[in-house]
Amino acid sequence: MRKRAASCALALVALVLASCGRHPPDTVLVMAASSLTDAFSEIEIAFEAANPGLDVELNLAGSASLREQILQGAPADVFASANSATMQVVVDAGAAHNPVLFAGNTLQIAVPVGNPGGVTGIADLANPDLLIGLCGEQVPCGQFARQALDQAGVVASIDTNEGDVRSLVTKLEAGELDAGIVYTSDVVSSTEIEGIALPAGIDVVITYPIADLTSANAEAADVFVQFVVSAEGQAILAAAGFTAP
Amino acid sequence: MTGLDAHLVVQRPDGFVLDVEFAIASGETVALLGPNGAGKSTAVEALAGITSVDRGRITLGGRQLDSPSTNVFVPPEQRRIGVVFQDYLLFEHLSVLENVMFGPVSLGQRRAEAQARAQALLERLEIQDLADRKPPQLSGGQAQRVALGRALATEPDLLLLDEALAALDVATRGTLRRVLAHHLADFAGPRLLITHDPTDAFLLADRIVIIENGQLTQVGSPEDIRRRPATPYVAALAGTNLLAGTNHGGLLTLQHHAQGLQTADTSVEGSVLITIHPTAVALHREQPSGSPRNTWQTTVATVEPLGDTTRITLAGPIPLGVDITPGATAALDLRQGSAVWASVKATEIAVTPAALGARTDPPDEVGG
Amino acid sequence: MRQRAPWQLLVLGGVGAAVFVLPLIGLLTRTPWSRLGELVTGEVVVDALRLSLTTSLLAAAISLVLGVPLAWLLARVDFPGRSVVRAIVTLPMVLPPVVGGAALLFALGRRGVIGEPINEATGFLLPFSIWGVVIANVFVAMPFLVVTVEGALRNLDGRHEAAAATLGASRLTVFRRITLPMIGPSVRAGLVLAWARALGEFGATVTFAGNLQGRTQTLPLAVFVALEQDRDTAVAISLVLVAVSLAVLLLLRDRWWSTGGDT
Repeated sequence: MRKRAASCALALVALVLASCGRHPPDTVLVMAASSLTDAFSEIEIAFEAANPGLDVELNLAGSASLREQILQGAPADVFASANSATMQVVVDAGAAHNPVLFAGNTLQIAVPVGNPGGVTGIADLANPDLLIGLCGEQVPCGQFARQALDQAGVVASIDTNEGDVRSLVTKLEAGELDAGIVYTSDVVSSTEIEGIALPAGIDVVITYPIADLTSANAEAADVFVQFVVSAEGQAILAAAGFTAP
Repeated sequence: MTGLDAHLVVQRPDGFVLDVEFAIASGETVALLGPNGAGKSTAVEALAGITSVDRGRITLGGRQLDSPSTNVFVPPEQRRIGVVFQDYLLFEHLSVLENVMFGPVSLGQRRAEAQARAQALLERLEIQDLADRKPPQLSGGQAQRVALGRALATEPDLLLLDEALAALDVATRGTLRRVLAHHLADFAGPRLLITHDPTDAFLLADRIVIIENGQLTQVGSPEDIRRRPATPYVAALAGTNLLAGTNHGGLLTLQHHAQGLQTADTSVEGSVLITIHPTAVALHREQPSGSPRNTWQTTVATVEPLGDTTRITLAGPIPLGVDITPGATAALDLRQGSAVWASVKATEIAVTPAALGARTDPPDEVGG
Repeated sequence: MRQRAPWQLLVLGGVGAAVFVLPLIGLLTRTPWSRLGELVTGEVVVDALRLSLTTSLLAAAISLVLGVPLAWLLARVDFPGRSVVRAIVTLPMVLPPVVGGAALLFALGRRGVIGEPINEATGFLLPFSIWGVVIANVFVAMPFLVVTVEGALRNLDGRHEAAAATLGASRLTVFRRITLPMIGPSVRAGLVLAWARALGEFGATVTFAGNLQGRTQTLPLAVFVALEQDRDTAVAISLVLVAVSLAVLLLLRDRWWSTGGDT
């Protein structure tokens, strides 16, 4: 009876230890901004097909949230952020090195299919009778959207600041919002929202950096990063609506 | 007809069937007396409207309260029956005064009037000093008076007391019995007393209805019950001996015993219940001469001193309980196993018709 | 007489306590004590606090008005499908709040099953408004009150209510003057539980009502946003939440443990 208790305890400890910190060397844990959801899911499939011995695990969230997790010691291998500022913080903290720009994006006004709010341009976002959603200021999508609005000289009548671009897209798709500012890649990947172009002259630079994190799987991480910047990876990104970096 | 007319037939899920019928006139107190499990609480619930009868009827003051045959069922709040419950069920979050006022206020009376009425009742019950106390602070006797006041405050058509004295200790019970008797007399309508304590029934009731196993086994005045008990239970209550047998012109053949007896009571022929009061049996050392026709030799089974009396139980041929004075016990030097002669006058043996299905127990069951 | 505890229980119990105490200590060590006053009085925090208190109290009140009758129905009326209804009412306690928020959106959102007709008829909209927050809070908090009160009603010995009926009280009077006072402690406990749950609600609120300072950004949402921007503010807001909750719980002391049956 004592022996069984002891071996149970041992097994429990082993389990706990195993689940924190290390992961098997053939797994690549990728933290990617939520706007990369569709593109990186495709990249995961293609990557695993090309590298049978490696398994990709995607952790998708707002870039700021991912930044915090990495800084608090999350055991990730790769970080793909939606803006360079966020990546810089991680680099400065010594958690990432050699960031490489791998994609670019542009902004669009998104409306539910059928445009129930009758939105014609960025000026309509100031209309208090419409339900307007943006990403929160703490995430890149929100910062870029506000840059665009500033450049257009529009004060938006905001009804909600979503935590990441995915939840904003979801609410637009559901028709619960009349308009929002999202990435072109989001408009491309969704059949339930339509895009309306921003006025000419608005210039918001959106570039996505990707970097190895200082973790145990440096080799596997590197292979992944190389794949992303390769022709195959870039093709997937382009199909998803991203531009070249 | 201002009294209560009730025929209660209730079938409980556990198979128990209650079937009793009785009437109570205004100003009359009837006691429903029976052992625990006899169906008394079922009867209370049916009368109060907490459950309904399966068959039968309940009519009070000319109003039909429950009549399955005509699909009439009056809910408890409209029955105007004042109930005093066994554990009083006072509302602990309300003061004594508010408890007594509760009924009148619920019935729509204005608070000021209800309060005045409640105050008057408290004075009549001599508990006006307790008006602001809360129930947990009351003694058993005080709580019982509050419960009575609360029931009386609604001026009900029927007063129903469910084991009203059961929760009290012996000393308080005696006092409260007198209080109760006094206030019952003041109540103009019919009064029903539910109890398992024969003293309550005998002292407070005009008529006693005996209930055993859901059935009515005897109805009568306290005197009738005492003199002519119809079942062993009632005989035990009355503290008397009960035997079964047949009567032919005064000659009694006993069902379970070989010895015969003679009685002067020829009012009933055939199958009878025979009552012999414990004080009617005389004991002798030698065979007695003189008038007693019924004499037999027997032995003493037990001797039980009970203060003023000594209870002797006799062994066969006729087991009986006998009450004699301690002096006589000593004079006869009676102890367990002593040989004695027993005698009973024929005039002291009463017979009643044996009720259909009434049981009498075999030899070793002795009255008392 | 002091109980001598078996050491195994002491150790495990101690670890259990640590589960709660350690995060609290972590919070306290990260608190920017020197700036705390300034942070706590900042506009974001004040708006969030005002919203949190208003919506949680409103949600608690609505839970009381709707929850007590519902509890009574579940405890006292034997209707077909009662156990199913009880299970559904308890569901928000086990569902992830985000799922609850999504469900609310599908039902009451602008394109929702019920929300759409209401919006077209009256122009009234629940999401992205303070009422959306209240509804989200009611959804997750009311089950706590219902469960507590139903338990108390079941434990209640119905004889006092029967006595009240014989005295002429109608069923509503019995409920109002006898039943409710007798289950008072449980109702209070359920109310506090519901309020506390509403105060801490995040997932359903952010999914259904959205996130906008001054209109829908309650304290938990403010912490979430601040965590990614300004960690000091996040810690300050967390402290406010912990302080308010602790204060209420301590005020109740142990009185809320005497639920049901203890009347």
